[in-house]
Amino acid sequence: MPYAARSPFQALLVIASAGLLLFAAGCYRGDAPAAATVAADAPPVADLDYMQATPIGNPPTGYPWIANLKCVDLDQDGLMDVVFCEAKESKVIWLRQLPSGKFEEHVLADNLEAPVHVQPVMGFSHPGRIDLLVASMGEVFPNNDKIGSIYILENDGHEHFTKHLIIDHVARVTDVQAGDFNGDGKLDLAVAQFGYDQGEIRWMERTGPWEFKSHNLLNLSGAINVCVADFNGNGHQDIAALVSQQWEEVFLFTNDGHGNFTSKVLFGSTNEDFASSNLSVCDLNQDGRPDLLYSNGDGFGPSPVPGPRPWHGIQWLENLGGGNFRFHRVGYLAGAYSPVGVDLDGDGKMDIVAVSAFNEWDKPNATSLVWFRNDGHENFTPHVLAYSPTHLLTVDAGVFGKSGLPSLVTGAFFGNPPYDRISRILLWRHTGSKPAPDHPTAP
Amino acid sequence: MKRTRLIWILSAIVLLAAVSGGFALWHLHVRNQEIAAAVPRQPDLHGWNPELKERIASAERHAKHGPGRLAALAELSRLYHANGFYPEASQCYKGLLQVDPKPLWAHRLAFLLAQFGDLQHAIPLWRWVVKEDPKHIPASIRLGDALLKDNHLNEAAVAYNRALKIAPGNPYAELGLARIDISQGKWSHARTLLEAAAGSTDYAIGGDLLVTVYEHLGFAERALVLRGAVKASGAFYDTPDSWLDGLYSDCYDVYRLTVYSGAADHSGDVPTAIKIAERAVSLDPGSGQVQYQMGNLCEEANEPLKAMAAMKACIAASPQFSDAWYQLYALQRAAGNSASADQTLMAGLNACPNSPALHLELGNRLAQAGHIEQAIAQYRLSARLRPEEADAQISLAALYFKLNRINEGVDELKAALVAQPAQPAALTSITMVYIKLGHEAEAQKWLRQVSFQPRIHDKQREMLVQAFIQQFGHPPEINLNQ
Repeated sequence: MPYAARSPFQALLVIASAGLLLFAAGCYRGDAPAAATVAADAPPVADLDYMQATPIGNPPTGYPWIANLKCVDLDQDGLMDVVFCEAKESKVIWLRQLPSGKFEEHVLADNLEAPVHVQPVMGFSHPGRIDLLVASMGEVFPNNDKIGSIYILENDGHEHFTKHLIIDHVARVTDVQAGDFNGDGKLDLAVAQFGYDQGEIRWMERTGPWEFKSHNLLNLSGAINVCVADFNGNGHQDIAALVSQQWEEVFLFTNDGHGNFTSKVLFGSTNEDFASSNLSVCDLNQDGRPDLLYSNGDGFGPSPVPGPRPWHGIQWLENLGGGNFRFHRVGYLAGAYSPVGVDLDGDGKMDIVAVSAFNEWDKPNATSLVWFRNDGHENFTPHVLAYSPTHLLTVDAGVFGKSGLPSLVTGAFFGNPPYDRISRILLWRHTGSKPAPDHPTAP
Repeated sequence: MKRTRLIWILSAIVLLAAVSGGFALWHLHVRNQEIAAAVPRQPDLHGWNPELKERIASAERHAKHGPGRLAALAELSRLYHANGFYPEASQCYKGLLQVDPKPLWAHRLAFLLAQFGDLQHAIPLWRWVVKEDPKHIPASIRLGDALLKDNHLNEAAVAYNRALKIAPGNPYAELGLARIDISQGKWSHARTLLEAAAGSTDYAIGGDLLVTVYEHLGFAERALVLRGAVKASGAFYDTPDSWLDGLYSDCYDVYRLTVYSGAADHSGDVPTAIKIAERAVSLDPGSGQVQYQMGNLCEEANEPLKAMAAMKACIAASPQFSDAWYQLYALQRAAGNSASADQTLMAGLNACPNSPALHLELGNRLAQAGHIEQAIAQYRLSARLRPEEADAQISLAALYFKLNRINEGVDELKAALVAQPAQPAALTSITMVYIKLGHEAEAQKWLRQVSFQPRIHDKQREMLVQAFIQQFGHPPEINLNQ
C-alpha cells in the first residue's frame, strides 16, 4: 500500500487537502473578463415652452425636402440670414433678414441636381466675400450611378452668385468643405461622396481659380460628412469623415501640411444598422481642441418603414490630443440628425442641439427637436424642445435677435408619411422662460 | 492502535463532510444572492404584450426565490434582449457571467455593447469567447470586425484567419481580411479574397468593394460590368449567428420583428424572414406595416396568393397606404386578373388620390385604351406629385413618340433626365431620338452620358452605335465600352 497514509495525522492532512482543493474548485469562476453593461440613457425633460417657432421664408408647398441649412450673415449687413438646400427643387435659397426682422426669399441657384449640403466660405473667390460650396447628389434616394457633382456659387460682392461646376459624373456627393491642405495659401476642398455601393472621400487640390486636382483618401460607400480642423494640433488642417452604410466608421486623415494624409479609424461600430447620420466639429469641453459630435439616427435600413432603434442618439468623440479621441455616449434621440454645438442658454457651457428626422410620428410624444443641456462636466440632460413639426433633418444656431442668445433654425425633409405636421424653415427663438430643471422627478 | 486510527479517520471524514456541507450551503447562498442581485429593476412595461409581462414576472420570481434560479435569469436575459431592453439584458448577462461563466453570455453581452458602439468593453469579452469556444465562428468574425474598427489590424487578421481555418471560405472573414489588405495597399491580394467572398455569395458580400479594387488595379471594364450588375443592393449582411438569431422567437415587439425580418431578408434568408414576419402577424394581425412586409416577402418567395392576401389585409388596416394598393394591383396584373386589377386601381385612387404610382398606372391603362388626352393628364399629374422620379415623364415621352409628337417627347425626356440625371431608359431613348433625327452633335453629347452609365446593357449600347453608324456613316467619337 504505497499510497496509504502512514499515520492518522497524515490521513487527516490528505483529507484536509482534498477539502481545500474542493473549496478552491468551488470558488473558481473561470477567467471571464470583467463585464460592463449597456448604460441606460437619461430620461428626457419636457421643455416645450423654452423656445417658440416662427415660419420664415415662403410657406411649404407639397412636402419640402430641406436637406441642409446654415445660419450666415451672407450680405454682411449685421443681420443673420439663412441659406439652405431644397433638394427636390434642386435649388439653393437665401433667406435674407431685413432690418424689420422679416425675411425675404431669394433663389441663389437652381438646376443643381439635388443639392444636399451648402457651406458658406469666406474669401474663396475674393477676399471679404462669402461664397457657397454646394454638394449635389443627383438623386437623394438610393442610386449607385455616378451622378454627383460639386458647385461653387461665386459671390460678386452684391450677393449675385455665379454657378461654377467643379466636378460631375462622380459618386453622389454629400458634403464639401474648404481648407488649405497643402499650405499654398489657396483654399482646397474636402469632399464626401456617398455613392451607394461605391463611394469615396477625396481632397481636391486647387490648381486654378475653378480648377482642381483630385486626390483619393478612401474608397468606401456611404460617406456623409467631412469636417476640417487641426485635429491633432500640429498646425495643419486635417479631415475627419463619417462613413455610414454597412461600415459605420469615423475616420481621421491627419495632414503633414503638404497634402499627405495618414488615415486611422476614430470610431467604428460593428452594428450595420448603427445608422450614422451626421458629423460636426465643436469644442464641447472647451479645452481648445476640436471635438466631434456624431449622430446616428438614419431610419432606413432593414425595416420596411423608417423608424427608431435603441442605439440612436448623439455621441461625443472627445479630442484627447495627438490625433487620439475618446468615445462618449451623450444620449438617446430616435432618428437623430444634425448635432450642433451651441451654448443655448448662455450659461457658458457648450450644449448640443439635434433634430429627429425619422421617428414614430404616429405617436404624439415622438420628439423632433432636442437640446442636450450640459451641466458643465459634460453630463447631458435631454430637454425636449418640440414634438411638432415632424421630420426635421437639419438645424443650425445663430444669433438673430438683440438678446445675444442663439436662436435655432430648422429645416424639414418629408420623405415618408405621415404628412400631418408639415413645416419648411422655422426660426426658433427664446420665449424668455427659464429652462425646465434637469431632473424634475429625480428622487 | 488500529481502533484509534479508525476514530481519527472517521472524525476527519465527519469534519470534512461538515465543512464541505457548510461550504456547499454557503456557496449556494452566495450564488443565489448573486443571481437575485443580477435581476434588473423592471422597466416600464405599460402597453406591452401581457404574455411578455407574465413571462418576465415569472422569470423574476424564480430568479429571486427559486426553483431554477439560474435558468430563470437566463430566461430573463433572453426576454429583455429580444425585446430591446438592452440595459436590463446586459445586467442579466453580467450576472450570468458571474455565476455561470459561459461563452454564450459573454458573446451576447459583447454584441449588445457593440450595438451601442462600446467596442472597448466588447473586445475583451469576444477575446475570451474565442479562447473558450473557438468553434463558434461568428465570435471570431465579430472580434475581427471590432479589432479592425479599433485599428488593431494584426490581431484582427489573426481572428479572421482563425475563422477561416475552421470554416474555409467564410466570406465574412475574407471580406475582413480584404479590408485589411486594402488599408495596407495589398490590392492584388484583396482582389483574390473579394472574388472568393463575392463568388460564394452571389456578390452580396464583397461585391461592392471588388468594383473599387478592379478600378484601382486598372480593370476598368470588369469594374464597369460589375457596377452595372450590382445596383443599389442595400448593404445589411450581418454574419449568421446561432447564438443570437433565434432570439426573435421571444420578441413581442412588432416593429422590432419587422426589423429582424428585414435584416434576414436583406441577407438573402427569405424563409427565416417569413417565419419572423409570421410571428409579427400573429402578434398584431391588424398592423398594415406588418402585412405589407409579409406581402412583399411572399411575393419574393413566389407565393402570389399569399402575397395578395397579405396586401388585402394591409389595405384593410391602412387604406391610405398607397404602396399596398399598387402592389396588390401589380400582383393581380401579373396573375392575369385584369378585371380585379382595374378595380383595385380605381379603389386605390379613391383611397389615395395623391399616389403618383397609381396615377402613372392609370395613365398607362388609359393610353392602352386609346384615351390619349386623359392619359397625358394622368402622366402629368403623376410627374407633378413625384417630381424627383422620371417614370411618368418617360411614359409620357413614349406616348408622344407614338403620336409622332417628337418635340414634346424630347422635352419630356429632358425633364426626366433632370429628375433622374442618369436614368438608363431616358438616356437611351433620347440618344436614339437624336440619332434618328440626324442631330449628330446632340447624339454625340448624349452618347457621352451613356458611356458613364454602366446600367445600360451591352446590347443596347451596341444598338446605339449601329444606329449612329447607319445614320452618320461613321462610328461615334465616344467609346461606349470604356
